[in-house]
Amino acid sequence: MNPPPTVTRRTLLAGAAAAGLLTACGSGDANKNTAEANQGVNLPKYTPSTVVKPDLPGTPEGVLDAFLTYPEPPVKQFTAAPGKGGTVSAFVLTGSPVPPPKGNNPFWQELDRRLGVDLQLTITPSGEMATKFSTLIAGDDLPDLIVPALFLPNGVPAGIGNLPQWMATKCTDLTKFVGGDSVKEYPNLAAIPTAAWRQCVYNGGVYGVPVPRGVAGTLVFRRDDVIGGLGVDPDPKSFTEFREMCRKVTDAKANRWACVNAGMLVFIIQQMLGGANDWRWADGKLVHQVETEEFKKAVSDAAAMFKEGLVHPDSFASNAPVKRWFGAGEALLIADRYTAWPQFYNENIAGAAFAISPMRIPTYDGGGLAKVWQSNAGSTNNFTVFKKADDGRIRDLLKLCDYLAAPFGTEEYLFRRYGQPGTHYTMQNGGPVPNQAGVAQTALGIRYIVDAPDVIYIPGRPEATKLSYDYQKAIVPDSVPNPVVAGGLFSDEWSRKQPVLGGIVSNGQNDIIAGRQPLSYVDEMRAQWKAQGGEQVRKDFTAQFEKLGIK
Amino acid sequence: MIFAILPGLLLLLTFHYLPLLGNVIAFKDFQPYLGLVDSPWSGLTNFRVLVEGDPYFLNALQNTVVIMLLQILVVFTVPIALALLLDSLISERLKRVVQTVLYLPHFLSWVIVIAIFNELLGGSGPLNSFLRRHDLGTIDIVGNAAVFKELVTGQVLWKEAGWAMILFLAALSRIDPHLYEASSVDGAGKARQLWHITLPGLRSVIVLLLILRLGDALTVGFEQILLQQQAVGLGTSEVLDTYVYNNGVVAGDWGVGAAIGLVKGLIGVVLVLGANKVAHLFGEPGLYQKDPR
Amino acid sequence: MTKALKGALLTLCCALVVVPFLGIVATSVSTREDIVRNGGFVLIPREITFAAYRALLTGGVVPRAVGVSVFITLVGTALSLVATTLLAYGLSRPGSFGHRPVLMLVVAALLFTPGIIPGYLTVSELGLLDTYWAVILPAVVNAFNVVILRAFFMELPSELLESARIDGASDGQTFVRIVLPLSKAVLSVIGLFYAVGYWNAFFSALLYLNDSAKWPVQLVLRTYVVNQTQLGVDQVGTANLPPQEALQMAILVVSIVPILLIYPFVQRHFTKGVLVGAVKG
Repeated sequence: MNPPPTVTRRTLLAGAAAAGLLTACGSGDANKNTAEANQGVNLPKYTPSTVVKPDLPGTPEGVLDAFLTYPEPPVKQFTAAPGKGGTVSAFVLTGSPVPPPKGNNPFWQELDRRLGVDLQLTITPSGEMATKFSTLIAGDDLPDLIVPALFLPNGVPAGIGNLPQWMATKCTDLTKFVGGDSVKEYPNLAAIPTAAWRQCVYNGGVYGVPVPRGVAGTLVFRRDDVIGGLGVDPDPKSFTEFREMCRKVTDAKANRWACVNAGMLVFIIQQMLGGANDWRWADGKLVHQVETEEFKKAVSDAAAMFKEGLVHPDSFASNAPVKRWFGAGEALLIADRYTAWPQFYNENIAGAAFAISPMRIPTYDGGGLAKVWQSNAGSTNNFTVFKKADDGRIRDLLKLCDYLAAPFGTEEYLFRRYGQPGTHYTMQNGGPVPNQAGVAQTALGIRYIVDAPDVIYIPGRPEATKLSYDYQKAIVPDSVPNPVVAGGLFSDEWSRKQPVLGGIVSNGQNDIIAGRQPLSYVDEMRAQWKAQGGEQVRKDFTAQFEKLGIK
Repeated sequence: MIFAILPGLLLLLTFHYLPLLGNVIAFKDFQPYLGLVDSPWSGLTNFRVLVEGDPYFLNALQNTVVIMLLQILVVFTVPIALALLLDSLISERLKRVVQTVLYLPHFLSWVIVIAIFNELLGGSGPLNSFLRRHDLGTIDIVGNAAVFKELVTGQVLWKEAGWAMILFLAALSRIDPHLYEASSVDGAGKARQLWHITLPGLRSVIVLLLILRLGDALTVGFEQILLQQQAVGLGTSEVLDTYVYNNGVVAGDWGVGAAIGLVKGLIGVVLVLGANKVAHLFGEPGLYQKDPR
Repeated sequence: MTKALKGALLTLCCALVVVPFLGIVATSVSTREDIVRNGGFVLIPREITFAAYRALLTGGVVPRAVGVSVFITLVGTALSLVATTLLAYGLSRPGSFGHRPVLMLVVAALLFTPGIIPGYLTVSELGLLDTYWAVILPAVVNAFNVVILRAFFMELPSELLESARIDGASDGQTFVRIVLPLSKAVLSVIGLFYAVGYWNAFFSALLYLNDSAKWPVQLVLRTYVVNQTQLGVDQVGTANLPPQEALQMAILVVSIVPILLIYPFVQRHFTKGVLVGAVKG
């Protein structure tokens, strides 16, 4: 065989040098990403879409629009393809099995035709996102659109530092294209709520387009059919009643437990106690959840309930199939995002009797309902940056994004999500029901490039849509945000160390609940948390709270 | 001979030693956004954890050594026994069927192996459901910190024993059958044949593989263990590689990983050199010889 | 050891492997009803459906990925066997130029492994990104296999090689006519190690192949197993589709069967007495 040409050390290092930042943009520019600079950014002016009228309207506080059926006929928004030919490349992630390549994928081909470009995607499995992203950065051969691994889906930072500096040198500041009124050129981007844009702000500019989500994050789903069948009151009025309910519905011999896992209990009980949603900023002091008494108390109660056998015994396993347990009735309470509704309906085997609803969490000692935590990730799932390019190119790309953000109710949205009628799905009960080809071919990950504002819509289940909407309407007004996310704050230490710090908390919490450590171990967790970077993060954020004058 | 060596040598230099230069990040605060060259030098900071006596690190080191010893004791020896057992079968067909069956698990990734163990042996799995229904108590194997190291070893055994057996089978095929015939004539029993013919025939392979395993002594099942840590806690399950991952890599501290990798390599060098010396004392060729024939 | 004990031991070993594998196959042909009822892993399905296999084989991803894997495995194994055999043989002959330092390089390669990013930069600088060579070339020489093969070569009876030399055979002729035929067993094992290595490799494909049309079956499998959801399950109705667990197990079966087919060819060479005949003849 022919040996491949060898690379000398010099050429390799030269390549590596190109991968690094230009010297001029090194640490000196690091302070471009300051709280003051980011506060003053000219954010895109919000102009809600009027293309379709929701069946149940959302609210400015963050309740999402709800649709009982998909609007019929769907509104056709675009008359011409937004693209001008040529190739557009994007680095995206997906949480699904890899879709068929373009040659075997009629959906992708049709998408190209509609967009008017040759869309080339580097699709990365979400679990490997951080690694693959690191090599992309190192190789410095960037595609036009990049979903950076600052946040994995669900808002967990991927542990890579210096993102703002990298963006400053390699990516486009979109402010002059979308800031203020200029966003009107892209009406679908203008219809993305301001809170979502705020999370794209770095270096004093808008550096990305968001994938917006509702602020109502994780809720507790309840198997009403099973709990009702056992004759147990599903609406506890206090912690004591909640524990009593769990005791009554648990029957290990029948393979049935109240809770899918103990982490959910810590989550619920903290809210009963009015605990901190990740962080608490009060009286000029920033406190992390792990440092609060509410956390300790919640862990203590959760440990007692676990010991009593009220939690599924296999729940500590990674990748525990919690949704399947819930669907099978092995566990009757599960905490999940509001987006999980349809899946629960699709994957249960209880048939027509299947009934779920969100449980309202009572206050710990009774007397009213607890304030519910908002989504920890805030109003955006992730955002997409644009590789540096000339203004014309950026405008072209933004036009594509405008198309990809066509709102719910349009024909474009229906196509983007579900494909083409007949080929990829059929309409039943006012909702698209995809076939295997539809599920496989549409899994391109383009939904992580940009998206329209999220809506509440459970296909073919108007009554469930109503439940979800009513729940949001009830909890959102006095829901508790994560103050750091709400303030749009950034700490490099946090974005790097959050996985480590999160690991300290979750591992320690598990050790205590499983009985491997006493409750006093919380103190050791706190010390470790501070030493491993928590204290630095607190300093970073506190300074920003103070500068911005947030009370 | 140089032409024989050349293609392999070039490939090794290009795809192994050239990127190995990148391990210089052991001495840097490497950050992907800054790149290999622009990341700042950090001296020996990345090695600090090795000498600081961090209790979590020491715990990981201790777990690694215990698991390694367990695995050398069990996972290294069982395949030899299996190979001998198979070798003693008369029927060629049966031999092949058993071989094929036993090496199947090698093809499952750890994600799958662990999922299967969890499904079958977990608290709500068929075994424990049955026990619970009959009031027999439960057997906590999965998610039980007290037996985690044994569980991990058992999983490796299940997955790799059949596979590890193959090399021994190849070595067994080289033993001269006439030796057995001759010793039978001399009245030697099966046990004596095993001791005097079969094992000596395997000895050099066994020694070689053992030396190679020692070179990798501080590596014990990264993915396998990482996937199960959540269930049993770090106290019993943290090993060197997961420690580096949990405290370094997830926070973008690639340098710590490279530093520990270098130290592990150096320890490997010492162990390999030492083991090779010991092998020579026993008249075995070992990994390499001082004076080639 | 008595026959009965031996039989019992082997049966036990086989059962420990066979039962979970039956479960894998059974789950791959189970309905959602059975899967949920059995907690995700079915040992005895009540109803059999091949929907998962149909979905995989007609989806436009898996057959192609299997083809890619077969190609990578065949080409890679062939290159590996050539390069490894030559290198190991060269290192097994004493006194040849650079013999000791090269051997040390091979052994040290086992102890020190390069990082992900430098490996990526090397492959990228060579212009191999998005080519199958990016997956094959870095794996052609495996130091472990070189060391093993060399050890086996060293143990060939020296009188054999000696007599060949006296007969005037060159190094090359000795290698082809004597060394290779006598090493069939270990060569087939090394070939198997390489083939399985190429077959199982997913990480290099993940790093070096941006175009998912080029992905081998193990990387595709990984997206089924590690990514827990079918797309859009949060937004779409999928009740009529094959359940995720059945799909996972079905693609697992599809990914294992082809590589199993090569094992009989390897086993053929485990027959005893190969050496004896040669020495005598």
